[in-house]
Amino acid sequence: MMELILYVVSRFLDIMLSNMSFREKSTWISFLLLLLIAVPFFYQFVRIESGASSSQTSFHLFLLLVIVFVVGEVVLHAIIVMQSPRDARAPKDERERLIDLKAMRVAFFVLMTAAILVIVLVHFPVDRFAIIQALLLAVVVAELTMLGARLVYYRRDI
Amino acid sequence: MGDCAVQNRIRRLRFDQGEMTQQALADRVGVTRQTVNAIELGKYSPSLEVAFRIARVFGVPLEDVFQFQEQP
Repeated sequence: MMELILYVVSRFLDIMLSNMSFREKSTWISFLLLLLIAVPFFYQFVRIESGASSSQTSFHLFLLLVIVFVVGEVVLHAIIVMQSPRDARAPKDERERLIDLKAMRVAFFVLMTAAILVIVLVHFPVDRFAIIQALLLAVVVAELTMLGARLVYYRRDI
Repeated sequence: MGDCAVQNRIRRLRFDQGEMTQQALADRVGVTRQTVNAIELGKYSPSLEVAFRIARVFGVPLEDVFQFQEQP
């Protein structure tokens, strides 16, 4: 039974990856890596606020996650470049540029909304550290929205 | 075909050209294979420049590749 599930999953991934353009794969890598580092980072912030951890630990975790993100981006992108070097060298075509613009517009509204929420937060009795974290969260959520919107548009073929 | 007002005969024209692949057409037009697929399925309307390039690859007038149909 387990072998069957693994076979179905691997076949599904094979089909999905072979249907994806280089840039869609690249977007998936960035999206998943950003999600992978954002979740533990902001969870750590919640632990600091509840007194379960220190900001010094948070800084070390931040450095570690940045290294994981950069190394992950470089290694995984190197793999997909080796798989399709011609696609990697080719400039974006008009549909890909349109997808970028549409995704950017969606992310812009998310960033603006988040920025307004941070401005509101400033008027509450919260410390500077929490406001900086909220700003960082706004940027991360906007970036995830942009990458996510791109993935949706790639799948919908706009 | 999708719900796009611009219909096309790219699939038929590829067949007539000895079953030209989407990748071969994409390479000659200068777009990705996924973009050719999206155009062929009617999910994406190309720019005039790309439309003319596609017609030129098949050696036919633009109207033989793309047709505009009024939506009710």
